[in-house]
This record gives sequence, C-alpha cells and structure tokens, in this order.
Amino acid sequence: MCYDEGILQAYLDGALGEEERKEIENHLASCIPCQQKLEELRKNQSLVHECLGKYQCGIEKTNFDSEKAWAHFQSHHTAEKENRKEGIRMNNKFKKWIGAASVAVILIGSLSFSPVRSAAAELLTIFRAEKVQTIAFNEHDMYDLSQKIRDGVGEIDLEEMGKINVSNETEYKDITREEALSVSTLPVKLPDESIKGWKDDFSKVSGTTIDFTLDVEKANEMLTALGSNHLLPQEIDNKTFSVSIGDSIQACYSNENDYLDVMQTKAPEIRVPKDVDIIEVRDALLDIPILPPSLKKQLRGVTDLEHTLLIPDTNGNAREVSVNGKQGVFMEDNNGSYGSLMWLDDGVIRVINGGKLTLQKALNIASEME
Amino acid sequence: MAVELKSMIKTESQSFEQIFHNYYPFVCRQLYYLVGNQSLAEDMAQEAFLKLYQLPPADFSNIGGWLAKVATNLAYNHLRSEKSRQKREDHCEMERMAKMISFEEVVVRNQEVREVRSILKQLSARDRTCLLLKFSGYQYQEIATVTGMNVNSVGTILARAQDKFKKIYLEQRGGES
Repeated sequence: MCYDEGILQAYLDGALGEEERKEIENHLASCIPCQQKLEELRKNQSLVHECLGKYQCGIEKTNFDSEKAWAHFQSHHTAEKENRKEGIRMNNKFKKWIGAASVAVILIGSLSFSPVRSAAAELLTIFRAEKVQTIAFNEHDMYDLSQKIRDGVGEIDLEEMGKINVSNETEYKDITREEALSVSTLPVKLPDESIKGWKDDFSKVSGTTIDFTLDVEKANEMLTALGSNHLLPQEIDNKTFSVSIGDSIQACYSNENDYLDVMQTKAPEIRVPKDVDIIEVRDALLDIPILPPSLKKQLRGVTDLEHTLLIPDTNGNAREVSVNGKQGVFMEDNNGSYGSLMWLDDGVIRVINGGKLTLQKALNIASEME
Repeated sequence: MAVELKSMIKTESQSFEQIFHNYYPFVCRQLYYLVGNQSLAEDMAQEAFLKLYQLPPADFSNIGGWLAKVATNLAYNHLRSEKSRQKREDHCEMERMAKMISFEEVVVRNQEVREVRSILKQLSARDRTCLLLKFSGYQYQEIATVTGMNVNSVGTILARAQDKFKKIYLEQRGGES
C-alpha cells in the first residue's frame, strides 16, 4: 500500500510516531513511486523555505518604534474611556466608581468614613462618607500592585481570610421617570433645561450588603507573606465588618449628538464592631510594604483621613471642585471627549457623565439638580 | 523565531510599560510576518497588548509565549475575514492593496521579499498561515490549534500549500523572463 502526500509530508517534518515512521521507511525502501513523491515534497519544501527565509529576513530588519506605540497605547487605552452603550454601560461605569471607591476603602484600610454612632445598634460603629478627596492611583499602579501581590502570595482570596456573605445580589431593572423620582431610599434629583427634548431611560440597581468575618491568623499570614511585620490586632478576630451599598438610580439622556448619564446613590456605609480600633487596622494595612510609596505618602498626607471618601484619580486629570456649595470631583479624559462630575450631597453620591462634558456644563446641569 | 521567543522570556515581575517596550518589536514582527503588512501589524500589536492589559494571563512566567499566541490568533482571524471580505468587495480591496503595496515598496526594497509576499497573498488564509507557522518552528499540533483543523490534516495541507506555492513561484518567474 502506498502513502499519500499528507503522511509523507508529516514523515518529512518528523511529525509521526516512531512506529509509523519505521513502517514508512520499510515501505520506501522498496517503492519507487513513493520515493519520487517524497523527493518532490522535499524539493517543494526547500524552495518554500528558501523563499520564506528571505521574507523573514526582510521582516527582521524592520524597525518598530515602541516609544511611539506606547504613547498611542496610553492615549487610547489606559485613560478611562469606553464607548457608550445605553444603560448597561452606565451601570458598569457606576460600578467602576463605587468599585474603585470601595476597593480604596476596603483595601487601603477602611479609613475614609466618619464614625457615626448608630442609635439602633450599640454594637456597631457606622462609617459614612462626608467628604471626598482624590488620590492619584492609576491603572498602571493597580497593575503593578497586583503583580507584586501575585509574586508575594499569588492571588489574594478574601475567602481564605475569613467568611464573606453577600446579601441580596444586585439587580438591574428598567423603571419610569416617576418611579425613579419616588424611590423611597434616596432623594432623587434630575436635570431639567439642559436635557429638554432628549430621549431618556431610567433604571434602578438594587443595593447590596457584604459581610466579612475576619480570620486574623490567616490575614496576618498573608500580610507576612507580603513582607509586612505590622500585623492586625488579635481582637478583631472573628468580628464581622460589613459594607452596604444602597440602591442606585440611573438616568440616561441622549439626542443625536450627545449623551448624558446621571446616577445617584446613598454613600456606602461600613459597619465595624464597636470595640474594634479602626485606626489600628488602618495603620497595619498602610504599612504593607508593597503599597506604592507614592500612594502611602498621599494617604498619610490626607489630614482628615477619617472623614474623607477617597476617589482614585486614574489619569491625573481629576480636580476637586465645589458643586452647589458641596464638595465634588471633576474628571475628564486626556482629549476632553469624556467628562465626569461627582459630588456628595448630604450623604448621597451624585454623578454626571457625558460626552465632551466640560466642567462648566457639568456645573450647570448640577445646579438644575439643586 | 521559536528560539528567539524563548530567550526573551523573563520571569521577574515587570511593569506593564516595561513589558510593552520589551515585547513590542517581537509582537510586531510576528504579526508582520503573518499578515505581510507593516502598518496593519502595528495596529494589531496594539490590540494584542490591549488584551494583555485587560485580561492578563494568570501565569506571567511566559508572557512572550502568551503574546505570540494572541498575535498568531489575531493574524489568522484577520486573514480569514480579510479573504472573505475580499470576495465581496474584490474591486475596492484591490485598489486598497495596490496603494498599500506601492507604499510598502518604499520600505521593502528587496525584490525577493516582495516576490514572496506576492505569492503569499495569493494563497488562502489557511495555507498561508500553515506554511508560515511551520517555517517558524511550530509543531503540527500547534498549527492545528491555531487554524482549527484536525492535526491529521496538517501534513496534507502543508504538502498541497507548498505545491501551490511552487506553482505560483514558477508562474511569476516565467512571466518575468
């Protein structure tokens, strides 16, 4: 039986198993047509290889400018910039804000909330944001940090350090304007003149509470693995911390050329057992050696850390501004194609995002929401 | 290329920017080699690094290998869609190609390289990718994975692709003399 070109080619390329190879060799020894076929394949192969060698050589000589490419990459991808998809994207955007804020809050040390005595629960201290401040912490820093964590301890798995319980998963729902305005959990305010005649959509994302019960021994093992010798105090072992994120209401407005997203939610709350010294926890976390020095310096430099909600400034363009007499932050991307204004209004976080949104425009819209 | 790739693997942690600078020329060359167009290769390299940025692999000990895989898949997907689009918009495509070739002639002065490129362009995306990957040291199994075909067909595809390559090569030579 003679072999087809595919098998012979595989034979030529050394891609066959030992047994098959031997069989073919035996056959070739006595089969002239197969010998000729193989010879033909070999000639073709050497011609192709000669040609591809020259081709590859030409390519190897080509220079590629990685500096220029890096600049391009940075301006296109590392700034916070996404194409807008109705509703859902805004939802993500919002999660990003809250996500970034809560990451800063939880990871860096639950340090940004003012203690408010809870009348109902004597056992708990509730921390709630009263002020906002930006800290420079961009995606590269985050990337570097996650790299260092990987090198030190692999992935940080919170479940390894205690028990996590998430009550009521967040849920996304389309609602009407009237429903949005009559939500019981927070006072919703909407823009007026600036969006006259625009198409609008409203939605609600339900809030959630995350409980975390800490296993101090395991958490300290991790801190040690990260090179820290400032450990967490023993008395927080088996204590439950919880973060509550309230319902959020989102409004999307658009016309042919423009879009505007408005979202609002109650500032998240962190509940900490009463006898826990949050300052001590914070100091231990701030001492983790892998935190970028610039970040530590910034955090230590915030004079009133306990009363401040920290907002990571990912591209260095954030400005602290006054919005209707309240404290806020305005961010835009590098080429001004996207702007975002966030402010804290009596315990409610309000955010306006829009294409080509300038600070002035954002402030005008905010004033309509007074 | 496989050897070059292995020697570039570094295990120490590097910042994203460092990784970008270290691997950018390598990724570009891999893409240029496969798609045969420099500016396209540069565009696609951005895409490859975006993937690394957004969904970095869990294992960082072989970023070079990971990037090579991403680049190869991007190139193959592009070639396939390019071919199908070519069929639909043959005319426009030809015009665009003509412009691209004349621009690239400035870059690629070597007549032989141009010749090979023109042969490769006449092959199907699958044939072309198989030949190029084989030449740069990929195993049959790896070629099968990239092109989504059965590993037992790789020999046949390679044999036929090389035969086609030779025929086009001889045709071009014949036309010249």
